[in-house]
Amino acid sequence: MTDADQSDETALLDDLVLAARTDRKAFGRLFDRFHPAVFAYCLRRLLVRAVAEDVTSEVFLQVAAHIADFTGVCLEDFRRWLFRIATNQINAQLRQSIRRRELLEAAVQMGVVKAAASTPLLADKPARWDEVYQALGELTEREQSIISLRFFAGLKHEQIAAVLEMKPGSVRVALSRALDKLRERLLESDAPSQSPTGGGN
Amino acid sequence: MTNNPNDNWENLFASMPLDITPRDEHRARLKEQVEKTHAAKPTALARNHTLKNIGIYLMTHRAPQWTAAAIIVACLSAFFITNRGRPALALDDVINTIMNAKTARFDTIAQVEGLPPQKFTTYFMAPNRFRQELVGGFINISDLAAGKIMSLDPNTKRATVFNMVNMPAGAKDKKPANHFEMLRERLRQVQADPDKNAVSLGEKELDGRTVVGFRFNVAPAPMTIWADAQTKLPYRIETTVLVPPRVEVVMTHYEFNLDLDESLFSLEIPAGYEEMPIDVDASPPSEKDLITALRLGCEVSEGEFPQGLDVASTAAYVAKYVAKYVAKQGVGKDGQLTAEQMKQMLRILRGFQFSMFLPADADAHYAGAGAKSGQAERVVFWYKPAKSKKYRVLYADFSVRESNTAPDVENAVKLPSMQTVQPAAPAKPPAAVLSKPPAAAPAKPPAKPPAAVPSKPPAAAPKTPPVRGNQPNNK
Repeated sequence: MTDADQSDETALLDDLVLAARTDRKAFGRLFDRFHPAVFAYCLRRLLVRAVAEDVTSEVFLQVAAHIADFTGVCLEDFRRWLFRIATNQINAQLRQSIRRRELLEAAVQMGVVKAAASTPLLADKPARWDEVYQALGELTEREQSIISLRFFAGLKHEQIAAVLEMKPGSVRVALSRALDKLRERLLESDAPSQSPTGGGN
Repeated sequence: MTNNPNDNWENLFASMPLDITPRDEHRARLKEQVEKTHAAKPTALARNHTLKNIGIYLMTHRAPQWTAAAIIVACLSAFFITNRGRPALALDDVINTIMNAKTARFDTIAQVEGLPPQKFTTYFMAPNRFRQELVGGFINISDLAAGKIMSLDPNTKRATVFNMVNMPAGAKDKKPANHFEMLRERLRQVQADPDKNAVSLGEKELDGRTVVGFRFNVAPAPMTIWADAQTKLPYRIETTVLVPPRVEVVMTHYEFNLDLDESLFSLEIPAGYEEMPIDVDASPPSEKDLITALRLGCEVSEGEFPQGLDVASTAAYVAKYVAKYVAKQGVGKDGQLTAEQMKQMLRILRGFQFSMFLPADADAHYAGAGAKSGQAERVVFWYKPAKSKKYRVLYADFSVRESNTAPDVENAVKLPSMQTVQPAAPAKPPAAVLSKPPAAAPAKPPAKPPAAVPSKPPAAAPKTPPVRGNQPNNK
């Protein structure tokens, strides 16, 4: 795609966002465009498909109910708003440690996270996905959000900053610190995983 | 191990053993559900926006292109002042390029406080033709020399043509009717009075180009201009109108001397469109027009006068009037306002424009909040006509008396003057906001946005759309 094509498409999508406030069809097209990304984001954080589907539904119903008041003017504004709502919904789900533990246990039982996580970040130490998730759950809510938006939703630093209302520079620093903490926790954990429990925020 | 630790994390999370493909059934069911929610929820709010929009838009924009032109002129004035002595951005270069420009294009995002932003692209062709493309395919085309403004609604295929009548002699050929002549005139004024409060903002990168910024603190709408350091032309202008309701306007992606097709500015009714001609009184509004507006408003408001004569108050008052008027008469067969209803609306708006555009030295005051029509001793409004030593005082029984002194009325509000540029075009409803008739309910302020809604417009401006030669743009 050339720069001109890209520019045209961006302009069309910006118009689509503005039209979606009152035009049902335009809103439907926005839904089609963003549903896969939002669902993937929810599933990667919540692990259990049924729960991810419920949260995805909540997100889009909330968006549909408030789109008339949405004050953004372009696709980036909409993305920021959408992922802010999704992040809030996911965090609300995970805020209860019991819920978090249940989700992880369900994921373990369903075999979703039984595979080994292999990465040079942990040197020769093997890790499992339930350990990664457990360690992730021990980070603060903001740290979890930053890591999730970066690696689960694929957002850039600037976009994460817009979603979380932070400065891009602060996002970079916070992400780096959060990943260091995550790595330390994974290195500290015993190789055979302990039972998945939620940590504090 | 790679050099960038983030790459390792990226690879780690990318290898998550999760199938992230959504189920088709869930997606389809959810889409149906959210579309229903969308259809049920936003309508009322959108209507309120529309109602309020009609008033606010018309109160503040006699013709949209004139507002934009006025802001550009003022900003460029600031640009000139702040650049004296800066050889890199020579004034003559700027003036000459602009004065010789035959065409121009720029994008605008206007955000009236409490309302969704309006985004549109403006095209200019010398001597004084304009085209505005709004979201949803609505188009306004104006030719002030021809005394015509045409609004195209792609949904109803209606072409509303506003014919300006009673235009003051010579107004069509008056120099300020030309966007760039107006600019030249303003630059001359600035040259005569260079002691303005301007601040240099230095250089920065914007959309891949180096721009130089200047802040121009001019009441009631301070402005910032970012000019391309190489071309010496404005690239982005930001302004905020501080008089309530607050209006933030960002104009960007300026381009000059483009190869624009004449057909973009054609006032011929496009094939398939039905013409609705409306004559609009283009003579300067008078005291009599204000009295007519107040009288009409009181007739449908149980005798109540507007809470104020500021933009927001009169907008709400006009919206209420239109809603009641429509409720009484119904709308046209196509579900839109009829020509007669639009004329009536323009009539009441015209009246309120009189008080808004009085010069500052008219010392205009409003004291009508809470007044009831027929109260013979209740003062509602006063002002001093040009060159007059006496005040004209309007009472709630719509009588006018002259007074040597201004009335002493508790809670009277001094009206800020909006007379920054003398407009030559009449009030004209924007195509977009008149696409639907207003609801038959009193206008309410729009609901507060949810917490998750971003409160500020984006820093990044939208991309410039390609130049199109076809006349109606049903995008």
